[in-house]
Amino acid sequence: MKMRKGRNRDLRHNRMGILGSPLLLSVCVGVGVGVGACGDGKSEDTQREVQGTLRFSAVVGDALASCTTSYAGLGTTSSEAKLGDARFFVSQIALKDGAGAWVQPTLTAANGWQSSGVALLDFEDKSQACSDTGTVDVNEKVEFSVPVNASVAQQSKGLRFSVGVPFELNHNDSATQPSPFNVPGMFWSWQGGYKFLKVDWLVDTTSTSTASATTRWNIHIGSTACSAPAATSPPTAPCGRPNLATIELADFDWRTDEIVVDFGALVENADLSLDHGQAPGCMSSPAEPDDCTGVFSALGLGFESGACIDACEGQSVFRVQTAP
Amino acid sequence: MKVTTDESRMRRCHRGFEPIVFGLAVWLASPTIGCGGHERAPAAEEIAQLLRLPDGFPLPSVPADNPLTREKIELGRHLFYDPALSANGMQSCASCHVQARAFTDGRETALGSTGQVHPRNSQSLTNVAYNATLTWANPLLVSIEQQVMVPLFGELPIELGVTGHEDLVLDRLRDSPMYRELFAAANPDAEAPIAWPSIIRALASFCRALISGRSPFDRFVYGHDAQAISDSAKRGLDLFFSERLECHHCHGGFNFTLSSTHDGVVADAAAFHNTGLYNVDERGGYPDDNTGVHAVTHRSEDMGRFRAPTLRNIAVTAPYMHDGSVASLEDVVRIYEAGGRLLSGGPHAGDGRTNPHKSGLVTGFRLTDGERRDLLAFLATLTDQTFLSDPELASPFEE
Repeated sequence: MKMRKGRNRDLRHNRMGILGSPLLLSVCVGVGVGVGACGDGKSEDTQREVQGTLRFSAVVGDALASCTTSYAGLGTTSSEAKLGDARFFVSQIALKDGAGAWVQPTLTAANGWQSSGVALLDFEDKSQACSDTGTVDVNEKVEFSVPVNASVAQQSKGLRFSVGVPFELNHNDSATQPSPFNVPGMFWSWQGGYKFLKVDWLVDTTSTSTASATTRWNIHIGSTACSAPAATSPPTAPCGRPNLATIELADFDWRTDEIVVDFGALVENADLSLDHGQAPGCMSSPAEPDDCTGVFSALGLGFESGACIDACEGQSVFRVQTAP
Repeated sequence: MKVTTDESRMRRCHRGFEPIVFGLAVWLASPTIGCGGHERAPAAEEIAQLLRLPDGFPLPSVPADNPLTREKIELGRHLFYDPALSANGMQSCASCHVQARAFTDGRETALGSTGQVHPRNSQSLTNVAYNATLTWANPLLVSIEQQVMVPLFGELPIELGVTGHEDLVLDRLRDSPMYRELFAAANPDAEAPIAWPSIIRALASFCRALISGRSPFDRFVYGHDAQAISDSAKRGLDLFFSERLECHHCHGGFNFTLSSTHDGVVADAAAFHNTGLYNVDERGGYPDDNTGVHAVTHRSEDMGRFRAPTLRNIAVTAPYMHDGSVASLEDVVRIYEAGGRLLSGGPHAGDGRTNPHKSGLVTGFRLTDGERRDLLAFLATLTDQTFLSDPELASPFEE
């Protein structure tokens, strides 16, 4: 099945049928007991579910993120650059209720963008600057369900999510995993797992190491220092540098708010006019502190530790705004 | 049927150019000429068995209107190796796609059945069942069924040269008791099974069966045999998958190409890259007859973009690149080390390293001689000797 152009198109695979489709779920709420896809013998209330959406909006500073725009004033040296790729995984999603308790919604499975509690967000459409590595389809939302009697079913007071894929799902063989774990271009290797976040910039850069001109400053965040016998083996213990940022946003009500992701803020502490060797930009290698430390700090991550500093509270990439 | 091979005959080959035969594509898709519509799609296990999928390989996507059957694969194998499929009887698919060379021909660029020179290097058919797009640089060719019509019917250049001689070729097949039997078995519901749609479907089915995944690398990874590859190759493997070399960004995944898809993949997997081989006009231009995806889309950013081929069996498919212009695998590695190719003389002189359309991942790196040997040793572990000599994929005809 080939994807066609269109925003937020449902990527359900044909074989998955219509179970979990919005239509059927709304039937569940209306009818309650007895619908095969919903009922499992529990009380009527827990069988009913509310469908919700986490809406994301990508910007670069004040402008909408797009493959066709040239952005000025980026990073510590005020570079001018174009977005060449803009995708990231989110997982371990939880909504905070009015009493301060966290509730984990269920990510609907019948959708090629989501599987096993992990969703791929994709803000590039392969046009112009994104034509080298991008994909045509975009996805700017996470679809979930919660029981109708859950404390967050009508309103939430906060949101928590991780930028990336949890260790236990991160090192499978991409070739045999369901979508979005099989999306080409988002997998490094068994050892490294997935690129949690892939935000590439097209920019004129001076490199300290390469023989030729560099036109790209790539940001590929993912786990490193993963011990495995070879790049083609999954690690047997969690990676030395997980690099999985956990973002907590206060005062987030999924009914009325959206999450803004600012790719300009991601590079506000980085110098896009210079590449300090190794891969162009920051590809999370422990050998790239000069390129990576600033990027990691924008996500609240420590570069050396690969973990959140103060619960990633210092992150500047994600914020809440009232949905238009 | 006995087919003799005339060694003195000019070897004429090629595959991969894209004069698009959309009229034929429509004709093939027409339900009135189809296979009867009674075919049932085989179950996943059955497809895996028919294709003899190795451990760790996902199920390839198979078009719903061409379900795999053993009979179709067998008919396709006969057609693939039979020069009767070319108008002048000089060439078969196998003329350019030689099994021992992982279904390539060893030539820089191919020659058609009438002697026309093809601008492209004959591509390996290794694992084409997984190709996100077919041929070197055509985002519009997404099924093998579409692709096989190019060498059959293409007129620029002429490959098998069937256009204008369709009935001549069909009559040859209809006159053969062997083919009458093979076609009837492959198309049990058809009243007149010997027709172009069934030829195309059978060829595509055989091409899907060209699965290679039993190399030393596979024994190392999927077979968990730590001794399957040398220490040098293991060091090369780690270099290959390193952020320093960046090889795996375009040649990643089980099939060693990002441009790979399979059953269950819903994301768009088409991918084309400019690797800085040419820069004939200081503006990033490629030679006129080989501009890559640009020839199809006419978008400036597509200049010089070609599909990253699988690296499986890469050691036996020299010469390399879309035009066969790089003689050895070591030369290929050296070009990537330099971040492109500087051609200081000749008709296509120019500094590809500064090609403005070059992929941002081709920035160059430095290797010691030992590291280069390690990397080449790793690439050699992708050679699947079983595939290169598998009798089930070989010519059914006496040589």
